[in-house]
Amino acid sequence: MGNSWRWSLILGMVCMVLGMGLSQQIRLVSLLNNTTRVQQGRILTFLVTRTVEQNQILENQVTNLRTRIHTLPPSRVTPAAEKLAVADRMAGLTSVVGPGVEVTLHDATKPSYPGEPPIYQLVHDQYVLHVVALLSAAGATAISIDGQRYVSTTSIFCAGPTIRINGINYGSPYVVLAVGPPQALLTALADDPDVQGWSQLVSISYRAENHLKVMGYRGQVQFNDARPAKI
Amino acid sequence: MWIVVVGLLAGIVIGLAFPIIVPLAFAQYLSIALLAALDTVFGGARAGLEGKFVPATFVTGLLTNAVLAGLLTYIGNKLGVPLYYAALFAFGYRIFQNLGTIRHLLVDRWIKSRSKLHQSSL
Repeated sequence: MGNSWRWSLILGMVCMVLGMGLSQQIRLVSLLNNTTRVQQGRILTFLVTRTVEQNQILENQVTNLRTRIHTLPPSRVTPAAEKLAVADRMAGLTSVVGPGVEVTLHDATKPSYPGEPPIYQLVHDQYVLHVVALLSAAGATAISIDGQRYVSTTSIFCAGPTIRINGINYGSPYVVLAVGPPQALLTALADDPDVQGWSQLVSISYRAENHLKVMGYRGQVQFNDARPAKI
Repeated sequence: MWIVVVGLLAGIVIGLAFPIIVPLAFAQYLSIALLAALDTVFGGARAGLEGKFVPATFVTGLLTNAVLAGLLTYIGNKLGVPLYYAALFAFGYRIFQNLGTIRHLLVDRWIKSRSKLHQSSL
């Protein structure tokens, strides 16, 4: 009796150790899973913080350069500044105001037809490109898409479910603002067969505005390969 | 039998309530030691059903299996040979074999008890 009692006690203790090991292992594994997720979050946070810091550094550089320009003698600065102001406006680097139209392209909100491919429900890059080209051809002098000014280096390209404009991804809805003769712009949109067709699939709406503000281009302008040609 | 359940539950509660968790470096050894222990547990259950359960054999088997499995994994890591997988395979195989035997024994016992019931009712 004494012997078997002792053995069952040992058995119980061994089982206790086993249970401890089991629960510890389960806790460890769940901890491991959590830490990887936390680490991913940390990496993303780090990337964002670093980008914000870099932005700050670049903005400081800009401010420094501006103050340096102010310290230069006006006789040297003024003619250049005047030329630059004109060039800035032509290049789309300054914000402009005026009458124009606002075009909104929205992914389809209606339920899809039976057998309709989902790809028909999305606003595609060529829709936006076409609208921009139409407005430009109809006499718009300043165009922006989702706040990105349309300039000489602007690209509008498909990036999965989003559209990359000036290197930044945007999702539906896409708001195109164009400063120009409102009636001509509206007619160009209304008469275009492509816009008419796409309006059946996705939502495309446009209206004239008396007072539109189109932001200037704020991204980088770098011509690494293109150099001015000698005339 | 009850002491097994009580011990296991107590261990789980202690392990959950313990303020610290086993260091990360031990995770692999702990897992293989646990597998070895589980193998012994199933072996013990089978021996119990066969009426051949000896506590001393069970306890020593459990401890030596767990320790040796951890040790082999450690040596394998040092040698660059994944002995971990060998242990994983061996213990996993044995667990399933023991499970099969346990099932056989239980089904046999059930059938016997039913036939006995049938005879007594006749």
